[in-house]
Amino acid sequence: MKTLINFLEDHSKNNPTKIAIITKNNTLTYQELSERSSQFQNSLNNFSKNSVISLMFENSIDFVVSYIGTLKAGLTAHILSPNISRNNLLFQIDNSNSQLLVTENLDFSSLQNTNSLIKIKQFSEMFSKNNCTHLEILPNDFAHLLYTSGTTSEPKGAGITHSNILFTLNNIVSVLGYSPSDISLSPLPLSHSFGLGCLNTNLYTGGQLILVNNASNLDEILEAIQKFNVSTLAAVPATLIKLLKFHKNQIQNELKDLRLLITNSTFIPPEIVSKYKKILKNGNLATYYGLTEASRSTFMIFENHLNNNTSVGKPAPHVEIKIENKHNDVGEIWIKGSNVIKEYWNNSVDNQNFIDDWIKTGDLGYFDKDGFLYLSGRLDDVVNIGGEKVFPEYVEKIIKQNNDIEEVIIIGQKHNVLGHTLKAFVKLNPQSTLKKSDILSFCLKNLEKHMVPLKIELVDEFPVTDYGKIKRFLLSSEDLKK
Amino acid sequence: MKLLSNNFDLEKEIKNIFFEIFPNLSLSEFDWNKHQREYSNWDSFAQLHLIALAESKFNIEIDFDNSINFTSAKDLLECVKSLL
Repeated sequence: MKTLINFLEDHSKNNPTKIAIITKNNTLTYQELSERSSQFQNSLNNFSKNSVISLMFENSIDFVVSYIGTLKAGLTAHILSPNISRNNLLFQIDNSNSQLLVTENLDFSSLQNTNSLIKIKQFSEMFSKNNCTHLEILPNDFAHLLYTSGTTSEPKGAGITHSNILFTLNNIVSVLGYSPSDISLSPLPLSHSFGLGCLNTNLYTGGQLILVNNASNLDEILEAIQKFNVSTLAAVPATLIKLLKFHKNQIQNELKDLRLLITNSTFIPPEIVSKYKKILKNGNLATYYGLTEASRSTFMIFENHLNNNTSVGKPAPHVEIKIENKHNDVGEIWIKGSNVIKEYWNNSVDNQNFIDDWIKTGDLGYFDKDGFLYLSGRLDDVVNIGGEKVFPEYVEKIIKQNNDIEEVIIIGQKHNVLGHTLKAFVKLNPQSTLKKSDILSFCLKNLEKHMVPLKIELVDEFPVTDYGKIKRFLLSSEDLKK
Repeated sequence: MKLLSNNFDLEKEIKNIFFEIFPNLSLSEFDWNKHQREYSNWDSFAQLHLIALAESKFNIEIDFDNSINFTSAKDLLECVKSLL
């Protein structure tokens, strides 16, 4: 079986001068990537096959060279965000049993005065011109290790094998139509599955990828789209919303020729989907649903004639999805396929989520009659109120129908009589004069009685992850502290 | 905290809470001393909704003991008065 490395070497042989990666100040051809990653590989000759090497970089050419060099050496690339917290860094280094940390001009004072014995090397020290050792890489060898960002619990390590990667890349290409002629732009962190998938797709097809370091730098994104005649853009929903808010007129022109705008399974407001459908005159808006440990399990291409803007699509080719433990039609999403990892990294507790090749995702969802999957929240979020199961996302959806409300998060609170009741954290639109009692009155009119939140708290902002997801568990824990 | 100019305003607000929670309750049926059991739909959720509305309108916190003890509009009025 071929691996990603084989495809890359083919491109290097067949199109050596073609540019593979473009950054703000630099470019890298396929031949340069092949040669430089081999030099990096050679510097890792002392490590035994399948050892774990940690890489901590901004989005850069040096990261791409390090990542590919580590894979070529038959080692596992443990990829870390440069913005990682000290505790998380120490946890991951310990849990992954990493042998070496390679980085570039980053501050490692956080590792001082700890028990960590990991070696740290700068990228510039990692080149050797010795001859390459050609290793046989097996499909089930681990290629990279990513820890899930964890909106509800401690990080969990997901070791992704070479065969996991190739299976997912085949699906991405067959469903979304990536080809060598694509010029793709990604402002996503390469330390996240979405961003890393964009890089791998490009290296698999032999296309060109433009890396932007900061998704908030909308001007740089728009400038690059125009300058390089970009055909596909990958962005999280928050970026899409900001582009509409701050560059509404500009994007009408600059995005109209995109072939594909791909986003991910964080909730996208349906009106945002509708607006982008209109802007993309010659292309499609698409999304996918997946976990780091079950990458790209569904794909959704938003079609103009279909009214399913809140769906995450249908299962990817050769991926099975079922809904277990249903309450009405909603239940836990289970996934099976060659994109699913076998187990978590050194984590016997969470390995209980794997049953007979299925992964229990902890996500709640349902299928419509046409086979489209919809997400309904997290299993952990279900609140039992006097024996009635309540899905917070359903309550949130109803409350958000009030035009004065910008965002709402519902959590369960312990209650002496009913077991639990609901609390709503509400962010109002800036001009709103709504009072807590008005919100409660709206809930009383529009929700079943057991779903009415008994406490309302007005907030200015919600705590979010680096990736823009609201940290529900923080709201719960903050609330418990009170 | 909502400023109420007099007891009349407070009583009016409490009455409004009852009319909101019990939409079928007419003005003529309202009685400050009418007991919980005389309402056809005063169940545990209605009890909690009465408290939640009172808390949000007057920006007060009604503790658990008080919240399970009141059985009439008058009880809620007295409870709110004691917290303002």
